[in-house]
Amino acid sequence: MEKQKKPKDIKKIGKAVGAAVLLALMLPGVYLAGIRYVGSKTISAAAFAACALGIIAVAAIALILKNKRTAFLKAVALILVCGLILANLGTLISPYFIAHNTTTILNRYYPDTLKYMAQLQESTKDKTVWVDADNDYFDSDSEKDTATDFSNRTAVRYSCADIQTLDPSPGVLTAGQEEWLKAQKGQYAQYTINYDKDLKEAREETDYIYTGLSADQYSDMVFLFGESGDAYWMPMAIYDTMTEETYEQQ
Amino acid sequence: MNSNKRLIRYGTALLAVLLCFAVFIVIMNIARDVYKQPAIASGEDAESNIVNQFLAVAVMFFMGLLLLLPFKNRLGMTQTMLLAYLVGLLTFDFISILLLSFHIYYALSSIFIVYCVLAAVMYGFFLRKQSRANALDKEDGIKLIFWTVVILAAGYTLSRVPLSILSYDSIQYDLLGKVYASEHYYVEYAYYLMGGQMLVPTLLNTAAGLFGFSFAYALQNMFTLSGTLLFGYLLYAGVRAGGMVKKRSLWTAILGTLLLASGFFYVFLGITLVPNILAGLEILFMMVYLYRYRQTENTADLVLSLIFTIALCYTRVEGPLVAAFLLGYLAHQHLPAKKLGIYTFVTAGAVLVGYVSFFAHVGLDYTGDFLSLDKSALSVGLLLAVGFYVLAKEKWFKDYNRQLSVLYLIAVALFALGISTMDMAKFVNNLKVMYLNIFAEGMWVTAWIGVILLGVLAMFITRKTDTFLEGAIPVYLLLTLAVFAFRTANLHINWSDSGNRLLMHIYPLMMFVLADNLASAFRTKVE
Repeated sequence: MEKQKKPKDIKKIGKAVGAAVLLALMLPGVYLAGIRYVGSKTISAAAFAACALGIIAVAAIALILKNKRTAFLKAVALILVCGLILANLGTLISPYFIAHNTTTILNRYYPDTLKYMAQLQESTKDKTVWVDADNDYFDSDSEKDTATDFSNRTAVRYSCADIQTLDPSPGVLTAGQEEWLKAQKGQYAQYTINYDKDLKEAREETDYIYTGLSADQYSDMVFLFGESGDAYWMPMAIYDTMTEETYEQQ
Repeated sequence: MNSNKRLIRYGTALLAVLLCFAVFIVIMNIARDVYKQPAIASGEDAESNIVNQFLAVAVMFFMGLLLLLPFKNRLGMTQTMLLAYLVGLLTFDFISILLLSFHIYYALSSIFIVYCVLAAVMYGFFLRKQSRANALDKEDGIKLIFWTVVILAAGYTLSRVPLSILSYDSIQYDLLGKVYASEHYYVEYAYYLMGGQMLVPTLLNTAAGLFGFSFAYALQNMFTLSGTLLFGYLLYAGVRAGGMVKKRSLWTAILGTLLLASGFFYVFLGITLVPNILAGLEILFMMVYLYRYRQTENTADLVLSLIFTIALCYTRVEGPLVAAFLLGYLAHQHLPAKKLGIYTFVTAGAVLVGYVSFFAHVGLDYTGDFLSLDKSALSVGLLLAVGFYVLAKEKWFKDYNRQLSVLYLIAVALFALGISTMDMAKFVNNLKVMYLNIFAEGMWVTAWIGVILLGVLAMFITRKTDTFLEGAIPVYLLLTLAVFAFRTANLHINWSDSGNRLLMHIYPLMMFVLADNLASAFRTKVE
């Protein structure tokens, strides 16, 4: 009897430990998510506490109940599923969420992109274009040449490499890449190590700024905007709000 | 149910769906004005942009439907209709891959010639054998009309309402896709893009070039929509087969599908023109159709799984590696060894065609960050090794399957953790960034919080004992760690880093597993 009980006990203990580890990993994330999306430490701490208390309460009730334990957990699961669906739908359409995120499905109407890009190609022929491009385009001579050549067929020119601001070791460009970029100076804008600081300066110095995926605080919604502040991928008001917040954090 | 009642039900449902689409278009137009966005596809060719994209959606749908109709008895009419667009799009892609790989003139005309030959062979072969077996009865006819109208209406709605996010990568896929459409072959000046931009997502944009519209937002959104509906159908079929009553099964499928489809990150990546949603749904269907095959031994399920596996290999650069590792796991899951062996070799062969063609064009000394000769050889080698292993295990080590399965998982874990910890600083940094992106920066928001909370609950209330699908998840996550270790650069903060987006690939499967396990708790009999 004792020997038959052991595998079942081990399984139960394993499940309990697994659940505890997963929940322990999740809870700090609730606080971080609150900071990121709500911006208030108080509200984030309250959400964290509410989640933690909720989990403890459910666990305590489940432990107390013996015969009705599974029925109780099934009810909790059902409520959670419905609650999550509502929360998901809320985040999709919430203006608050939209204002604090750089992208949303609602304001993703875009103009005729290629037409705009063609216009841009004409209008930026003799102007400096600061483009957030990935490092991998500058890995080899042939790739550099091809990238430059190919980019001439498109509206934008690759002008600098994005350095990840969160990378612990700055200067991640290889020696070859650094040399190549320095040689381009004059034709292209400078490359950056401190992305946000340089982006602010670049706005004053260059005619057009295009930020792509690698922009941590400036996601793909900020696709292109010109001197007059017109934005093609998101309302300027939202971008400005986000930009001011970002600079305030610096 | 008598046929009149059925007709009324389907008719009412159809009207309701069409009304929803109309209301959706109106709401999105209002939202566009509220958020002061430019007009949809402005300019004189705006309307033709919409019409041409809708035409492309319709063509893909009918291409798939014509190929699947001979199998409607094996698949069921509803599943046939839900698969039609997905299979049609992938057929378009596979034919395109063959034409480009073998340096055959690539254009709409050559695609349709190959398609017609394929369809003629299939119909000739299968209809000769079962001439009357696939005749449509009244119920099939109603479903055919219902789903055709719904899918075409969805295609029109998604063409008119361009829900789309363009990222830097999207532009690269678009540029390369248009190059294929205009140049009709691989060209030298685009080689540097070919190493990173795989064919399936690129060919969506080639279709844009061939059919004459800008950015294939509706083609991708239709893939996401069809994939989501198919997710719901497979969930329904699975819980129903497990013994749940019809009404409860339907509600399970609806709730499970809503939970998946309402997730911000799912929607976000669904409409971003990058390959992640494609890969996520391909992994889901690869696994779920093999799971169904193991239960039903219906060859149609095996073939469907194979189609999605090959598609995965051409969707992401690491696709063949993912396929190899998952097939290595599946080698221990009691699937018929000979069939799994053939499956694996066919996958390896399909991948080899792509690689041989690629290096024949770019040269053997080509090295990109993502694709090089050694990485390609490794992927093909692994697939072949898995194929031989499956056959050898069946012949000589059949009685040690359980032990070998455990050994395999340990080997994968050691490999992933070993490679990762070779650069401890990078590993720790990547873990920190991944954690931040999951909960705070990556816009996952409720997705992963939901997965963890529901996962914990499912652990305690599930009545499922079969862990066929569940076991694939840790294998994939460990492989992801290994992929991060191979990358030159560290992960970025924000969803945009492709390393972080790899997590989206396992999300649909995770949601399916969650829903299936939670549903088992509500069944009347144990699986």
